[in-house]
Amino acid sequence: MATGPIHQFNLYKLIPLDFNGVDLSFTNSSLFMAIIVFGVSGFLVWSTSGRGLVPSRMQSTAELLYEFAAGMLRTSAGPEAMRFFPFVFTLFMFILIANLLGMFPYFLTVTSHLVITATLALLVFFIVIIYGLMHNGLRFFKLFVPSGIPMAVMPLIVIIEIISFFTRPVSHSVRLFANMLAGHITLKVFAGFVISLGTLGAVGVAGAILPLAMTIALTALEFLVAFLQAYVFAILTCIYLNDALHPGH
Amino acid sequence: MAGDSRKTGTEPDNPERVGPSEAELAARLRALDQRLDSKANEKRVESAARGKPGSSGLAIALSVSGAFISAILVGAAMGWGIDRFFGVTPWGMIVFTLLGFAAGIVNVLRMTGHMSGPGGGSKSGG
Repeated sequence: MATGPIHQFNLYKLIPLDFNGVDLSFTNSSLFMAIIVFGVSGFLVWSTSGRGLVPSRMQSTAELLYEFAAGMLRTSAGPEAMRFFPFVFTLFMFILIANLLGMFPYFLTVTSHLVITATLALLVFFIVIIYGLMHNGLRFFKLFVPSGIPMAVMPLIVIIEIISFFTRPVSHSVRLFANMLAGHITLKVFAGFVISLGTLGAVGVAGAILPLAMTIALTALEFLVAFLQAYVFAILTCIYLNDALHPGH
Repeated sequence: MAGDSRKTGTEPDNPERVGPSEAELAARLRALDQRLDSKANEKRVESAARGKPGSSGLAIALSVSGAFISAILVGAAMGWGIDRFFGVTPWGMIVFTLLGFAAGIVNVLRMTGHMSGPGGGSKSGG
């Protein structure tokens, strides 16, 4: 095999750009993110441009996506959370399409880079803090003070709650990143077995059927994971936003 | 009919006066059903976020262990920062790493639904 299973995550510069020592090159990752953003916006604008009372096939797909994200936000953070709908919907669509686009052979999965997922998770984290402080003022800190705790252990509990709060962006970003990375590596490793067994003559070719079947099964599983992880990222965002809207629940 | 009920003094014979009518009761029942449905929805959404249904044991193991380990790392990092800032070198990191372990346990208990969220309310998000 010419390339290892990690090779698919390589970044390379398509258009080198350098601003006073700051590397702002347009990489293949940037290219895929641009494709995702333009693809999603283009699809949604084009599919809803007809505005038919009886929706066309594409319009009905767009409406389904909207209803799905809106229902998710409403049930987990309440109706007043709908002001965050554009944010949550953008996040959901971006991650969903990034994961699904990564399923094409030779395509880069942008969500398998920790930089991307950590940026998105930190964005959610800071929106929760800033909006929570703006909306609730000091009542936001009730998030760290559980009710019904004796005063003696209160400082300890508050510190533990604060540490627990700060782990949110870590697990939020690592969950998406690790799932995409591990899935794609596993897929590539099993696909590599097919090639290396196939070079071993007739017995090898017969044996290669096993990893081939595994690769097919894993591909199906990866499609499920691609959708599920986008959903989990979005629903966790909704739950965190719920804390910003109603602290001390 | 009306005369009868006045004579005996019992109201149940008069359909207009028997508390809420059939239609009202039906409407109430529907409202209750809707409320129960939305509650059930909330529950489903929350458990979905914890990765229970529709995900494999591996996914649960990954996310639970991730929550535990990240809490320790965050605790250690905070302790290191406090050491740097206040110059109490070994103590901040020692204490905060241990607190990080505690926070990790809290995270895991919350994830598996053995403990409610902060505030002790019925909602156990987080």
